Amino acid sequence: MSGRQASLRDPSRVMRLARLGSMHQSRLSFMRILTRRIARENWKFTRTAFDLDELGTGCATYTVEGPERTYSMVAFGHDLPDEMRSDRVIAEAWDATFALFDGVPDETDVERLASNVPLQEAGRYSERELVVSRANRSSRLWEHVVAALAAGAQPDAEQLDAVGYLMRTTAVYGSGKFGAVDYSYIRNRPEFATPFQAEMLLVFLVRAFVLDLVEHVARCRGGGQAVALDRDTARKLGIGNATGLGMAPFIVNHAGLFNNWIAAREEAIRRVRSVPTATGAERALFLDRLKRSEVLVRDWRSGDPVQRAKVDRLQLDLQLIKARIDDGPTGENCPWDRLVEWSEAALSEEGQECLASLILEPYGTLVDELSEGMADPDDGDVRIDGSMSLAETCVLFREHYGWALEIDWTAPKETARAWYISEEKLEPRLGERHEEDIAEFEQPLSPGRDAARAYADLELWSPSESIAAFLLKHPEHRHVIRRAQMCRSAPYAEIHDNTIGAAMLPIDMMRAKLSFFGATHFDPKSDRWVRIRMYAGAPYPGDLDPGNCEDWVYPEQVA
Amino acid sequence: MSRSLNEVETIARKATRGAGYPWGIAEEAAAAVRWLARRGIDGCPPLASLLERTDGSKLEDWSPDPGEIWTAPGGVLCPLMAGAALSDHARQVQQCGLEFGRMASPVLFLPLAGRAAAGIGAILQVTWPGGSSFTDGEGLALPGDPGLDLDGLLVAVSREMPEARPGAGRASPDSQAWDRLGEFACRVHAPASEASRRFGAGGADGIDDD
Repeated sequence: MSGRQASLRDPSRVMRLARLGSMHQSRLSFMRILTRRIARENWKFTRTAFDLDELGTGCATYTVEGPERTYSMVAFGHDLPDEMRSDRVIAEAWDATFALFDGVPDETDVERLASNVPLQEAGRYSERELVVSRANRSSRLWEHVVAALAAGAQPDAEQLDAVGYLMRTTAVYGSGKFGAVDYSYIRNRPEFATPFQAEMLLVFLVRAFVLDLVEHVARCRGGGQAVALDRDTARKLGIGNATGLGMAPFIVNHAGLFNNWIAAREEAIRRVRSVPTATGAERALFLDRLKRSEVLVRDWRSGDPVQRAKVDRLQLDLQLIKARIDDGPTGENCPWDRLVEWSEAALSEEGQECLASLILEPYGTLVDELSEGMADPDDGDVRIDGSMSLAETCVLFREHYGWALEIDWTAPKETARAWYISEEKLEPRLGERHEEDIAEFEQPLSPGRDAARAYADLELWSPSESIAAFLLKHPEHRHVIRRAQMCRSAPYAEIHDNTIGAAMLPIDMMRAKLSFFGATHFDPKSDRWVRIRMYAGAPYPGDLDPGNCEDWVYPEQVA
Repeated sequence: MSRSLNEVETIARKATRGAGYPWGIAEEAAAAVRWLARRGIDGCPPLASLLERTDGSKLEDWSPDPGEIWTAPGGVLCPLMAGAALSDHARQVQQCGLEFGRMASPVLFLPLAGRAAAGIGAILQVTWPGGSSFTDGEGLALPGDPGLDLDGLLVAVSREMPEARPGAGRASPDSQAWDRLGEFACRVHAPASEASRRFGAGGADGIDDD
């Protein structure tokens, strides 16, 4: 038996955009961390009010009781004309709007929410609101499902599979946005110690509301003839999400936080690779998830040619993994390490990352505790250590930004893009630096170029000087010096790729973040926005239990 | 109006950048205003006042020159530049006090003194004519208001930490100051142009087709 400890994968390998854009959900995804907790702690869900008319206009309240606290979702249904339905962040009306409330709202609270939540960004929220969100119906599917159920029939399975959700959220706002409670205020509650748990809870409740709503509208239309949606069909439906450019800068702006997500997953991978022997049960569980992944991937549709090619290759990769397992010897001699090593030459990055997530499945006792380290206790606020010498600083830059120091930043293609926020709509955009007058409005989202600029100035100074002295003369490098120093304790903080080059695809950044949410079925609609499914396959609130809280992502195999 | 800490932090970062400071200093300003809000102090009026004074001038004029007394070439120190320098030179304070010359909006200097205190694990006392404050990085004892301008101040290690101000979970920024910061913040937003529209900004690629 080997006592070998596998190493962590190097940031220069993990933090490339192409790899980040190939990441998959895992045991450490925020949706799965939440459903695990809900099942373990046996949270109680109650629909306490459902006052909507035949068009779906009105208000509903759902209450969640955890071991220590109660939260409520207040949902507002609206009758939105088709021509007003837009997924853009700039939209001003939606089919449904939601708030996650701290406690149980009284009448005054609901009135206050009713005059603000439907306005979304234009409303004001208080420290009682944890999350604010909105959703639009899938115009393709909604009417089809309502009509079928109203007529006493089940909707067409093929149409359901093609879309995968009845409503999609177009924004989920937490962390103090528009006056809502700050994350720092709730982070000490165990249920919110992992990031985005409040947001994921709201989406989980939205999915329950959407099912209730579609059946309600169908009942209003069909009367006694109407039927409920088949429960297995309902379970396959997720909540869609349309994510645009706004999400991409997040992982650069919150580099310390993003490091903790990646570091948790990488440590999990390392621990499993260090397992000397796999038991029969562990191998069986892995094989089960592997085979069910095939079903999941078969059902992953995308009109985007690049993503379609990646999905096709992933299907092949899953077959190659299966063949490798079937051919290979038993689970002796660090089997997962050998499998991962083999995958690095044999599979695409999409396949490698899928495998890296899959090997965690049998090892909850080894890896689930890592979810506790995924928040950022510093909230991104890092003090610069001014006593560091410039010699040490240069070593730091070469170690963490070596890739950026090799880029010729004078070549126009390397700086083709600039991230900015538009005055018109206050939304993040990506512009063409050399064609538009946007450079002076550029957001600090190019650590690689900034590091190269700082390094050029650092080299002009005596190596024995301190960074404190350097920053007195070069305050313009303060931002990237802080980032570089952060890398000492957060090696996965930086993307090791050019984030403003002509070849950069913003959807790679979004995919990385969304994979940590636990999203599936990534469907890029252009290089800058993507549709996904959340909670597809998950039990509905009252049905979650320790037996199904973990494997719901993987569809049951069709016999 | 009650605002979240996230909101005050965000407007402070954007406004400071909008007023022409580098991003790294804008980050210090954001953290400073948030730190003050957590201790029940509204940092928006002193920040708005500072940005109005420094707007359009050269940053070097407001930045500290190290010396026996750290002063600004233009005569008045920016508390963000001076505070950042203090935080960076925190170890020096451990050996002997640091003296700073005339300073605008000095209350914004205190969070950075807090950073320095946390960095070296000491209590720092900031003294000025007629008053002083103490911080160990977490707590802040500030009996009076240092006002909008100070002739000079001294930072030194202290052995005592008087009772700190009570903490606050929300901010209540002065609405006029908020609006003034809002105007500076707008400057980081790019106006729409023919070129940007041509390159698809704000275009129709998000219209629902499902």
